[in-house]
Amino acid sequence: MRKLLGLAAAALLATGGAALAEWPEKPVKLIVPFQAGGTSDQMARVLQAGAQESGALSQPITIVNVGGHYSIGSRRVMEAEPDGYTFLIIHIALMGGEGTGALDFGWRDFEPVAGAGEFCLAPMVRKDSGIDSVEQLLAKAKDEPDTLIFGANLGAINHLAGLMLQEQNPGAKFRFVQIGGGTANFTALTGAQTNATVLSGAEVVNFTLLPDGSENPEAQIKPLAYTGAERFDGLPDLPTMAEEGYDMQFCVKSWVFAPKDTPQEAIDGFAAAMEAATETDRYQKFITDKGFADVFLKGEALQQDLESTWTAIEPIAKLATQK
Amino acid sequence: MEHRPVTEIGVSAFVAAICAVFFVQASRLPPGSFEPLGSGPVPKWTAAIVILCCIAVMARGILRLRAAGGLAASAREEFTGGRPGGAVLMLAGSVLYVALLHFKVASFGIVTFVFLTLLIWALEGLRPAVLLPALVTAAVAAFGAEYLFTNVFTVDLPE
Amino acid sequence: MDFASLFGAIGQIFTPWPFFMLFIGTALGIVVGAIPGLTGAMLIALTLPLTFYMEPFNAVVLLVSMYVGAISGGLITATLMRMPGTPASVMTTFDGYPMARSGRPGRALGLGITASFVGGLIAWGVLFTVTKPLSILATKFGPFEYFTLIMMAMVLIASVSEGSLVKGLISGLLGMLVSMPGVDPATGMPRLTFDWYMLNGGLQLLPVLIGTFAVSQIIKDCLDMGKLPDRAEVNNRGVLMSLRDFRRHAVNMIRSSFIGTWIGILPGIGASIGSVVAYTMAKNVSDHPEEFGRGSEEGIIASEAANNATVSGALIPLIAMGIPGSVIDAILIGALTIHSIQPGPTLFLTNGDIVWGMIATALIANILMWILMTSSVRYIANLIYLPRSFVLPVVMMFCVIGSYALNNTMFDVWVMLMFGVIGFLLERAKIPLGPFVIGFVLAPLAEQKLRSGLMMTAGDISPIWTRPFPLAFTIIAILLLVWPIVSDWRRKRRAA
Repeated sequence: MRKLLGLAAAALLATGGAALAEWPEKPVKLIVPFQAGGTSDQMARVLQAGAQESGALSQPITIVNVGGHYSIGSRRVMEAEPDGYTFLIIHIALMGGEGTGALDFGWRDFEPVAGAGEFCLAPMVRKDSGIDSVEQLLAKAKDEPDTLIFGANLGAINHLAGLMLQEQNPGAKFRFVQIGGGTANFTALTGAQTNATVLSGAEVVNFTLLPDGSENPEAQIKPLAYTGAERFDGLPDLPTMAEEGYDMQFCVKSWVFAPKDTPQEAIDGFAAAMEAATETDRYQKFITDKGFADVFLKGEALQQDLESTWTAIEPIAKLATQK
Repeated sequence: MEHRPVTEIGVSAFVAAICAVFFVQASRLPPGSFEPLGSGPVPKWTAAIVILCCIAVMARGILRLRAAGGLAASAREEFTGGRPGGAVLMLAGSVLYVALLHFKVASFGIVTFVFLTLLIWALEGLRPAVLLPALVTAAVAAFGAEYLFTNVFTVDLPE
Repeated sequence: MDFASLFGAIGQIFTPWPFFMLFIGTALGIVVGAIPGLTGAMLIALTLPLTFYMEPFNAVVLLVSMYVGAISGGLITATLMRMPGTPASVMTTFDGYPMARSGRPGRALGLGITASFVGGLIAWGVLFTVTKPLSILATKFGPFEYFTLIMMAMVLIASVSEGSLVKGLISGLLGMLVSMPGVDPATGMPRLTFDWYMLNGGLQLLPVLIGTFAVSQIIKDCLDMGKLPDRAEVNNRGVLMSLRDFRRHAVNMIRSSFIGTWIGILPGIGASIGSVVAYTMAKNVSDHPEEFGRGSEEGIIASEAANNATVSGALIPLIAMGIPGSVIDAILIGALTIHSIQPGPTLFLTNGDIVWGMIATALIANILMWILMTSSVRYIANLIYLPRSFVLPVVMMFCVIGSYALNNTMFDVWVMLMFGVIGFLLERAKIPLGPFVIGFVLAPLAEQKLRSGLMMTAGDISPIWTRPFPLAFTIIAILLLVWPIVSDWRRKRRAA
């Protein structure tokens, strides 16, 4: 309640101060195509509060969760009036969906606005598996193709990451099995239902370390490497894939998009508000807690990032539709 | 009453019809690529079993109809009693209410206020004495909820 | 046994916000449970959208205490008006109402309240001791174990719900079927969407639930409006039970509590069945079976001890395996997933504070329920006379808000109305609604587990009969299916 009053007060002050600017004249909607409570939703809400605090936008941002399949909310933004008052926040699922054919539209049907908050993944195995490195894991997947069970959410981030991983050693082949997201895969790997999976850096910390940062003796699983460009702060002893000799990076960012033909003024304005939000203490604390890297992209850099991600994801996503 | 054969036959037929649509749609799904089943068979066979069960219920209903002395007699007994007017009023009112919200005719508070006042008054038989309490209840509930949800819980109400 | 975690959670409940939630939840639960036509499932389904804006701990405290309150509140109306406030109190009407009419309403209510309290406590003891070991066992459960367990649960629900087995099956399987459009749980690809993108996400639990339970009930209540029940006067005499009463009824109370707990644990069947079984059992072993139905003290105690015991009992499979033990648990699972908490065997590891919050709430809400009910039963009894032509339209408004708020689409509101009509029709045809919702919740899980299992074994289905647990679950399921048919046939042959 106090927070809400604060927001209302900030909004009032802001409207009073910047009444001359043409955009925005009314609250801006940021559509989250997922239910409230997920990581994307939390990210959106932190950015909303950060933009408010920094005073970069003269109007408040309203978060609208559109649950169900993410295609519903995304389509709503794509078909929205391109007046600069509707934006979408989504991650790599948008490209995965286009690649697998689950969506009949894609990221190029939107106007990119900003990209922020990046997290990367870690391939996981059981401690008693006798596998100590990515090299051994892939060698085993090559010697005994289609026997190592890889827990994933088929068509989603962890499935794409697993496919990209097996492509590192041609001939290696996991048997992908539908398990679900991070917690479900942690459960399945702990119960020896599966042999391998990938988890996000923050999940690895959560599931294998005690709150004081020492190793949890009850944890039965371990990470093998980190798919980021640099080591993960939460797990300083874990080598990157590059250090292990593989040219593989797999990281996920939150992207903000606008409908096609949105005025440039609104795109630049919203991107600036997002950038200001990422500089607030609230945002910085959030990404530290979540294990996200502090990246912010807009304009040309964002376009390049989207294109290079698409180049890497498209062929993998095609593989994801077959066994 | 112990059994309602006419209702049972009607509802079973309705359920079976829904399932038939699902059965046809599910049959058209492509086979799976990760495992032998794929997307189709589970919904397809679920629908098939429901259809079988519905046929069983309908068959039993027809037997009971005969015992109860025919369709007309049973129906008369099943569809009397209660206040169907109230139920119809409630349902029709709600459909209209949701439609008004859907097409954004007015703000949530106003549409809800009108809906509640008219429905309460109508359910009370349009007695003039109830109009005032109905207006008060509707105003408190509609505008109270609008305030509560937009300002405290920050839900994005239908506009 | 983890007393440190338990006391930690109890300590956290006695901080301002959680305690406020606990108080509001229990009190609202009792009131809503007491008003015929408003059920606990309805209250919890309508509260769910509000909980996304709370801390997960507070949300869980609120919902679990509503659950405890709602199951208990039903006994007030059951006793005073012969109208079960919640379906779980049906058995209480048989003896509570005659006793109240014969001039001892305080005594009847007192027996019910205390039996509820004891039932809740005993079941809570089982919840506290059994859940963690069971969750450790459950991590060994693979897809085939889960699949067969869920199928067994489905057959169980269908076979014990009121009405015939065939109707139970129709309801459960129809629930499964309507959960299938949308994202295929095994591959993540949309299916059965009739090329309509609004269906890509499928039908959401919340609108379906609000529709089948709340809206259908509203329609039904409108149909019955105007029937005013007979009423017994309330006084406080005899609300507190004496020590001698406890001694006399101890065996019955403990037996009924354990029956309730056990039935609560069985996935999918909840409080109504628990009280029926305990009541029947109490009647069978009683020295005065002829008093049952005419104001028997034993009858009230058996029914109320058992229906409250199912609450904690049903939380056991929810926490240990992520499988709902009752309709309300199915909604609780929805609440957890909204907060990105995945119920399942590793919940103790990943969200220990939430689990202990649930367990501690089940205990403290039960105590608070006893205090609130004994002190205010007279006043609550008067709430029953709110005119329904005023209450029902307002509840309908909350149904609209509740189903809209989750995803911000009017589509969900239409879904809610549609399922209100479907639920109403099913009930008119005496098809029970409980299996429908359980089927709706369990089907995606069952299908995903079956197909993941097939992915693991490359299409081999034999683990269903080569592994011990799946084999046992399958055999039980088949017996449950065949038994009613065989016994029916034998009865007919004997009659012929």
